[in-house]
Amino acid sequence: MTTKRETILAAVRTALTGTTGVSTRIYRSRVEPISRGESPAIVVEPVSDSADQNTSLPTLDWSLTVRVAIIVRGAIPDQVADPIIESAHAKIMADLTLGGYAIDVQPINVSFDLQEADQPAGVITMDYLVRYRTSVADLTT
Amino acid sequence: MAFTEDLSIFLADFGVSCTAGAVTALGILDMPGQVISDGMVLTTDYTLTAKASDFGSLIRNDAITVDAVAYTVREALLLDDGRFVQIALQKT
Repeated sequence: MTTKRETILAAVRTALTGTTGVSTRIYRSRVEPISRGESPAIVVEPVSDSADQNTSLPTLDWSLTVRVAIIVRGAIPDQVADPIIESAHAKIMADLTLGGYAIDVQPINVSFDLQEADQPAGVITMDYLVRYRTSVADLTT
Repeated sequence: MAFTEDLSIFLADFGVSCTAGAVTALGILDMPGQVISDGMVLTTDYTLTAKASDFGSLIRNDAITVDAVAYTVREALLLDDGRFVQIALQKT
């Protein structure tokens, strides 16, 4: 069985399919750096996941922070990234249950890292808070 | 007795032909790979070392051809006594 966390991360990755400008360059937790020839690209990865037991029922309410990093190259990197950001955000927010596994999806932060490189590079990270629920003893249900 | 430097000797062995505007002269091109942006981006740090008298006046976005490859200047930094210049490049 797969944990709901992994299922949600995979669902975010799948939801991003067809994002403007990135073709098939959408990666799950890619740890190798992205070269100029592979840009623009998107990397989906978990940042943190915290649990609360809010009811007397044997359930846990989880708050998963998912990072969607958009890596671009261009003279004005944040401008190059803008249509990709717009497209990716719309795709993530189109189904706030992510296929029925989440209770809600909320955007929480966008940050910009612009660097000089063999062509100016930008990494725009969009963080989303995904709320979901599991059993206390079973992270798959 | 005054010591006369011949800076061309430094570039003679490993220098490649570079052209910017009307100037053609030798320069040494280095291109080490680099990982930046907290491990997210792989880049190549194209750096040309040349005589400042040849290419010291280049500024951002100037075009330069190095060994028959087109580059654009990112920045030009004088070295030590200012006789040589180190030019950061991006591939055009």
